[in-house]
Amino acid sequence: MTPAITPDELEALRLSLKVSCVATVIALPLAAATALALARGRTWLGGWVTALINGLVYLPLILPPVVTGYVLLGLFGRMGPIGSALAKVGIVFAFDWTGAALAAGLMAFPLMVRAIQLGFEAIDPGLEQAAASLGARPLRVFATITLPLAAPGLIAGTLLGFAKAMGEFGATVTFVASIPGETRTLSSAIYNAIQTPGGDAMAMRLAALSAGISVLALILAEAASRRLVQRRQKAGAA
Amino acid sequence: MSLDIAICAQLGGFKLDAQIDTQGQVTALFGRSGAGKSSLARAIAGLLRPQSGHIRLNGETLFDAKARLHVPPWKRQIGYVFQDARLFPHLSVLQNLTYGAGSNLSGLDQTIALLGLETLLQRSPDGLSGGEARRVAIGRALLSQPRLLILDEPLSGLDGARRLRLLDCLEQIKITGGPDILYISHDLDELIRLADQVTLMAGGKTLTTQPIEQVFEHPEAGLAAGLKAPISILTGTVLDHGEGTTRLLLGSKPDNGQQAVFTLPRIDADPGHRVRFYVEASDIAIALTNPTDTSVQNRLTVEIDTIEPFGAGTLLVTLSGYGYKIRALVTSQALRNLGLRNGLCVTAMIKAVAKVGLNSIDR
Repeated sequence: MTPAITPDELEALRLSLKVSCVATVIALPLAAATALALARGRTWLGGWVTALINGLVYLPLILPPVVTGYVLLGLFGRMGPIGSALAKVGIVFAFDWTGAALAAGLMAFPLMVRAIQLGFEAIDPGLEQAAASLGARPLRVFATITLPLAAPGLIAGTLLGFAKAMGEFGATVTFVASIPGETRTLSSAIYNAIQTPGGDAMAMRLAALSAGISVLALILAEAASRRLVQRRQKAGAA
Repeated sequence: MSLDIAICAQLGGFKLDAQIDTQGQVTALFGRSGAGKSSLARAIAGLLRPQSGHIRLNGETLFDAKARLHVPPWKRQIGYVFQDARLFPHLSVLQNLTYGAGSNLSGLDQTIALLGLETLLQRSPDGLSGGEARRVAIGRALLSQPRLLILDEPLSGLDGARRLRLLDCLEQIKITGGPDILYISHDLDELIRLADQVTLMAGGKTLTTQPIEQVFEHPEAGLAAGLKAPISILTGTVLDHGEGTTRLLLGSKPDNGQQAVFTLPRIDADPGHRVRFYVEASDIAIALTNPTDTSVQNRLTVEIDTIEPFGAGTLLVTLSGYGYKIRALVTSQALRNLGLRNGLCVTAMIKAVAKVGLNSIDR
């Protein structure tokens, strides 16, 4: 009785994966840099600056998603100060899949920063000192000691961010609406299906699809963070 | 190595105030835990930046507060073996060893053999015992070809056999012309065996820096740095080996008569070698005559140099023989009964099996 996945649904899935991947890939280096600044920057950035960064990073987590979407619309919309400037160089966010990626990335950002920051904070600074005493310059210390040891946090942050981006709805729908083939991600498609008479079966299939992908990402994130915790305990016992 | 340090550093509620001017292959920092030994070593390695003063190693200025000079740690060529080894957990033992070596792996095989690391190379640092991790950390620091090797209590927490094995390794590094060493310890046995110069530290301050033979001559500084009782450090030349014993010639030959002979539990050193050992002042008894009806084998004819009060009811008596000095603790009652006074000739009795320190084989 349940028909196979329709082309429309496949399109929503494809769009969701594209939006989430792009959002995660672009947010990752920014989140890593922010996490590093929060974990290590207190001495050279000062307490106030790190507190400010901290507050800004977590804003999307605290604000209602509709508000975040509304702010994005105001700033990045065609009439918005940033949106109109970017439109001149051909970058458009409003009512485009790129806008969905921006909204998803922004909403995923605090989760990514948190997980990656924990990863950096778990590293014993003594190991970096040991590397320096062996003649390694700061860049080499970062590349060969800090980054590999922060890997579990980076993996956890990436997967967590991806799962959050896949599920993002409120800010996305406010900012870029739900245009089929353009901005209708899995979540918006589910909402649309529920609103449509007789769309229950479609909503159910999409919901299962969405939940499956998110749970898979969470399981992977959990496995990665468990490795991190084990290393922390080992470091704590030493 | 020549080391010239005068620094002050405020570390939270702790103040480090260090003055050292020393030359020698192995300089030891001796003091209780919390005396500031590691902080001073960290400053020398560039891991801690003092507020004022200067640090010079072999004439090169590594830190000068006035000139705002602070050579970063990676440019100092100072290997630091931390108490907690600090091996990189994501690298194998071999990768750890070669981390600081760059492309110069000429000393790799030799270092692996010296420290007995052959069977550990492919293992992860996680599975190593405390002693194994220390040895890898020492090898890693050696292979980075440092000008100065800082060893922060490398033997602490190791049991008897492992401790002796690592001590042998360290002595081997010293003998085979390895880098100069700054040795941090609160263990006298290690000092006797390895150190040339000793800096005594207490409460964040350096008290004095002297050759090891002289540094404990005035007991106050030694006691402040954590010595349990006054000691005498003696050097001698191996004469011969007896049944479970080794006989040494102490000091110099008197004009008329024989050089003092000292009997130790047997040590592994050929006749003619110079060895160093210590005797605790409480293990020395004084007799007015030279008794022959006693099991005490070491009876040295000495003259009383000085008698100083030392704590409640005890006195520290400095006795000098030909080319050596020893210190003995006596009660004020014993002093009165025997009529001990400066210039008096007495016999110092030291049991051959009494606590004598580990034996250092000088080159």
